[in-house]
Amino acid sequence: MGFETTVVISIFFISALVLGTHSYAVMSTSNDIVTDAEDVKYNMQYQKLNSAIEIDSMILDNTNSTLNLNIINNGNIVLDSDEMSILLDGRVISYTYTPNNKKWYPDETKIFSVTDDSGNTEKRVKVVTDIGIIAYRTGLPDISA
Amino acid sequence: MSFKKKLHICTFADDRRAETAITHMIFFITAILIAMTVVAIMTSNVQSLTSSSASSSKVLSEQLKTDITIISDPELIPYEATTKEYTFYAKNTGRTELDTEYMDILIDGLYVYPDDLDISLFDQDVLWRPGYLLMINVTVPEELSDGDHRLLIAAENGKSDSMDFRI
Repeated sequence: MGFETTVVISIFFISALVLGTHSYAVMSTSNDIVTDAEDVKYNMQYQKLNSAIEIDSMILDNTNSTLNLNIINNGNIVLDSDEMSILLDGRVISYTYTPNNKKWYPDETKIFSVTDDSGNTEKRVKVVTDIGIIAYRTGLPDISA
Repeated sequence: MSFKKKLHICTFADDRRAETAITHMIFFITAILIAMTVVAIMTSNVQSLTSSSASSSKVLSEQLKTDITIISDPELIPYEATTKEYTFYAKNTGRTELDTEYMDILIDGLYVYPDDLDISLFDQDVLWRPGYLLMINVTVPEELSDGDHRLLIAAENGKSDSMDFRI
């Protein structure tokens, strides 16, 4: 019986060793995947917490039906001017911006221009950054001289 | 009396010396078979466990990295009376690419069927990439009543965003 016991114990031991190694490798990889995703999530939260924009003013240029929005980056994060979304009276509209640099640094004011044919009426503007930071402004726009 | 000599063919079983060896061999083979069966069952269970763990971590990772934000103005939801369509906008504010085919939309808790949905990407892309804007046109049988309503958008991995809006 001694030999049988030795062989069976050896089989169990080798199996446990192989399964344990395999399990550890897979668990470790899984843990790394989740840890990386958590890092990304914390980074997203950090960016959101450190981002802020404010619509400083709305100026309507009636000569070419353009509404200029002076928006300031109040946060600590560099924003992407191309990834902004502007909603004028509930609808997303295309825009251009000056200065024409893609990067939008903290404490920098950019002028976002949108086409608006509705004249000097009360407007509601919503601006959203690429990470979901929002700014609103409602009211009559100033008229450019 | 005559003695008849019995003819006897000698077999392996008759060899009393092999009895113990055969018994040991049977025990040995049985023990090995049982051990192998136990190992096979254990391997199968452990592999099932590890593969579940791997796929679960991938799903969890996708969920952690996914973020969608409904960016529609809650006080001004565009409505096209001729086509009876409400337009909503959502933005991919996460770090994953999403498939718009598997998006689910609920208005006031009621599921909007794909026939009543028109989902399009502003960038004319196939996948809803980070930072991209999604336009969702929902056709309704009749205009929503005045008052507060709720919109919920769920992505393929279960991450969702909801928004209360006023008509």
